[in-house]
Amino acid sequence: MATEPRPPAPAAQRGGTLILVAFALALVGIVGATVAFLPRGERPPAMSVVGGPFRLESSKGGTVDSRALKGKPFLVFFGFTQCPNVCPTTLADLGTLLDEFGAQGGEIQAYYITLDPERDTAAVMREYMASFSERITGLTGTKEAIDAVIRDYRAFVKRVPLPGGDYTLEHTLMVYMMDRDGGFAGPLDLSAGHPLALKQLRKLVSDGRST
Amino acid sequence: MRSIALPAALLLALGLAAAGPAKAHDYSAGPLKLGHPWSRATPGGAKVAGGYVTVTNTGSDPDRLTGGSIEAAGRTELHTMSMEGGVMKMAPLPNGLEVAPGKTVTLAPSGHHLMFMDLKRPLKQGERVKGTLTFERAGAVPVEFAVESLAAKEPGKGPGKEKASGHDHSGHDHGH
Repeated sequence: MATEPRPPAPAAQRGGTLILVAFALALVGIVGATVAFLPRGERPPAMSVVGGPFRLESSKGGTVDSRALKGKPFLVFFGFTQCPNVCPTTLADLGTLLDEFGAQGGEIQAYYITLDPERDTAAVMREYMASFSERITGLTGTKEAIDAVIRDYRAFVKRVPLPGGDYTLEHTLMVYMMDRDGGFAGPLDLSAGHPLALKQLRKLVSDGRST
Repeated sequence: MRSIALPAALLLALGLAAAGPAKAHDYSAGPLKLGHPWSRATPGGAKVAGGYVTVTNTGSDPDRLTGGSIEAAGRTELHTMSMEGGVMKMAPLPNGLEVAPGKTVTLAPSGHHLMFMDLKRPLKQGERVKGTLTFERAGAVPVEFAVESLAAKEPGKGPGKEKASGHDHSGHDHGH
């Protein structure tokens, strides 16, 4: 009895499963390719294609190398110090949130990366970031280094000339949640209040991924 | 248009001085009601700050907000901000903002705002900064901007427990 050939049904099921897997892989490929060519900055980008290594000057002195962050989820947010409205309020809000998270026993670092390295030198960033939570570190670097981060994070930035000869920047406002492997885990939602954002952070820290 | 600004400002200062005690932190300039001009405490070394106010035109002629100033800033521009798909868009408003009769124009962090530039000193929560709001018809109106917290996204509780110590912004003592 034991040596008899197996009934055909399971084999057919296995074949069916293989076909399904092939279809699924093809689908993933198509979706992935579509997502990779989406216009930059128009919407929260696809998770798999966002993020990348960086090595930038820290507002706390020295440099921050993303390789040293391996194993620890972190947050990334872009802006510039000559931003009058949303950047400072978001930094203040995010700082309060991270301190609340800290008081609850959670710990996560956020990195505020300037899009204006020309004006935001390490000294400027140091003075500016001192007004916010210590859990947020300002980062700057050469134009090339910042451009590479902007590209990797699929961030949008556009220089807008002002009448007085100055310029301002239009840019992505999303707070990126990055998982323990440096992969994009979704945007942190600060608009719906701290309880929800804290829940997102807890999930990010507990499993390195967010839904 | 700019040449009439100074005489108009002087006239308005006189007009305001005669207007008597005003409520809370509001101003009148002819038919224009200016509600709670405010700004935000600035982070260390910051060179810019936003300026916000509501302007209501109770008259029958349109006016136009063209700009403003504060004594702490080298210059001021009128800008507009909007959010589009997670991106903050910015644009100057070189022609100002019309305040039509019966309408209210709101300057707020999430939209039109004054951008105070080349700050000479930080703005501190709780202080009042002397400045102006400039209109095509009403000229430069002296106001004080209440400086709210670094995190303020809207004019909340104001700068805290102020003593009613004869500093009631009723139009006097604008330092001119």
